[in-house]
Amino acid sequence: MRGEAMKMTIFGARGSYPLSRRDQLRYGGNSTCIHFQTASGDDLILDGGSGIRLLGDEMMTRQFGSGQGRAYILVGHTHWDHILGYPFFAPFYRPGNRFVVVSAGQTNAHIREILSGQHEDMHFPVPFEDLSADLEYLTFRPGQHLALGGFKVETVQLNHPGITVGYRIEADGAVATVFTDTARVTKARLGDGMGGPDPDDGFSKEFKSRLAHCARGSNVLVHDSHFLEHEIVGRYHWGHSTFEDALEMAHLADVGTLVLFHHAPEHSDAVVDEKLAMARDLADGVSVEAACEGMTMELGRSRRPQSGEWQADVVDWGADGGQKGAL
Amino acid sequence: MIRVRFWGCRGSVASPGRATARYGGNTACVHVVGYDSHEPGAGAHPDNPQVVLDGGTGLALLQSVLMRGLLGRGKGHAHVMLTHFHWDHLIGLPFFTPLFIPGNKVSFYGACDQRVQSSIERLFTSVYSPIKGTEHLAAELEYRKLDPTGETVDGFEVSVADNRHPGGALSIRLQYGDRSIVYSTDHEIGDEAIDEKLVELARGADLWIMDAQYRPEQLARHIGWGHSSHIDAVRLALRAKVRKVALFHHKPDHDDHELDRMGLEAQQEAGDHGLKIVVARDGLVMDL
Ligand SMILES: [Zn+2]
Ligand SMILES: [Zn+2]
Ligand SMILES: [Zn+2]
Ligand SMILES: [Zn+2]
Repeated sequence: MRGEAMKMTIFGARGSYPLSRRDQLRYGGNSTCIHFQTASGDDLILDGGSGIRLLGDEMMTRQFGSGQGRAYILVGHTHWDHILGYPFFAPFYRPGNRFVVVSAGQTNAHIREILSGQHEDMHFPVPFEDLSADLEYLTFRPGQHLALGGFKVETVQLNHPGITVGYRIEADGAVATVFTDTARVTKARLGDGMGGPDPDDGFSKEFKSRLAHCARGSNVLVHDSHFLEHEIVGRYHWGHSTFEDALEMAHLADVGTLVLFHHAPEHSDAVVDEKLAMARDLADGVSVEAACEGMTMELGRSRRPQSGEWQADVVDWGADGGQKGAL
Repeated sequence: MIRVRFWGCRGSVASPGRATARYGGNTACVHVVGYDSHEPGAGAHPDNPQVVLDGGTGLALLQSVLMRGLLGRGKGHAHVMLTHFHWDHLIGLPFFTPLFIPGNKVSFYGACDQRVQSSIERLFTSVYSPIKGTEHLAAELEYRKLDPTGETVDGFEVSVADNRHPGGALSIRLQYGDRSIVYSTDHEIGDEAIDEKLVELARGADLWIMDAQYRPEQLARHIGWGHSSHIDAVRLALRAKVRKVALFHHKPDHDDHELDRMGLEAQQEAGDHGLKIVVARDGLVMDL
């Protein structure tokens, strides 16, 4: 059903790896996948963890089932938990569907190689060439603005091993920002190119304000909340946050709702409940939810909508326009 | 005696959720423990001889059990046998806790030592893993070819035979004392020469864990994909005169009710030949 506003649906909220446990049925065990849809029906997918299989089944009941769908796929990063579902995404196997895979990187070949690597015959029975949908690639540098059909997207590099991207996604006057995997910057600098001479050189402050700028005034901030405080000690370099870190960012960026995300596989529903309750105690004006599979949010107008002079660095005009590529 | 515990019974991709809550949604991982004593609880001792079959997402649940033994103290030696190198059988390994503890040794076995090694290394490369390479793992790693003429691993006599599966896969027989189990996930029944060798491998086993991904009508649409129907599995098991069959490698979208039905149909197919059918589920323990 299409509404008046952009809709966000969580298909996988678990981090590190998918897991099936009976005490995790409410929040779910599928790894990361979030779906966005504008009021006019444009589709955008963030991450292809195991949750994307269920999203794909849902999409096949729409125009993707008859090979007439098109969607953007934003690649947050390419660690297993965020990509292992792509080979099981049914709309990829229907000729006529068109996908634009959007990722940070030097070349289109790079992301194609990573995705096709999952289909190498030693590791997967179906070759990448059997993906009969039309896959195109669009690359950007973190920090660039992307105009993707009905979506205005801003990007920022997160503090996580390799290159991991946080996305600000705006459509229909609403904004959702997603930081799936990011570590406490005062304790570790993990992203490629983020190494610095010493902890007091101002980098941490600058980094936090860069992330807060990306998330500014969002209706919703979906944020890594993998560890509890007693678990993160000694594991800062694993690349994840606590709910306290997520709350700090929510306050800095003045967001409406914080959605705790990337739940640790070891955490039962009861532990996530507890994490949510503790976060709400400290929320101080921010509304807090914990992401669970199947959760849908209709995003109202942003508290701080985009200013008029927003400029795109990379443009894909969507279904109607023929033009595409970096400006 | 042998204790078998199933930690992941799904094929292809993990499928957690309410619809699969009873049988579980983890991909292939089976823990096989050998023990000698008849005392109650003997099979549960953490440092019994033991082998891990496949490293699917079920491994994440098994590892907490393993960590109670020597592996938790950096003095353990894990034996992980890989039937083949499809992701659903490997994807639990990037977070296998014993790998991160100095002093442990982890031996990986498979049809070919180089392919075992390149698969494990692939799992940990920097594009896919925050570990950025197996050289950052604390445990000592060993890659070994499973000897086709048979060998002994941690007290188990091990023998293997080839499955019919894209890219190949092994069936593994583990014998401990006078008990034996055979693990044949990812096999498409229908090539008589291959099936006959598997029947020989499984002959008289106490338990045969068998690929039963499809219903016959689904199989008809997936010829050549390397999986079998529950009905074909029962028929092959009857030829091998095994005691029990565990139906395994469930299709991700088969829900609990579907698996209930397939279990009943399989038991019906077994008739009155004394063959017992179990539908494998995450957490199931069988003492043989
Ligand atoms: Zn992650
Ligand atoms: Zn990651
Ligand atoms: Zn398999
Ligand atoms: Zn396979």
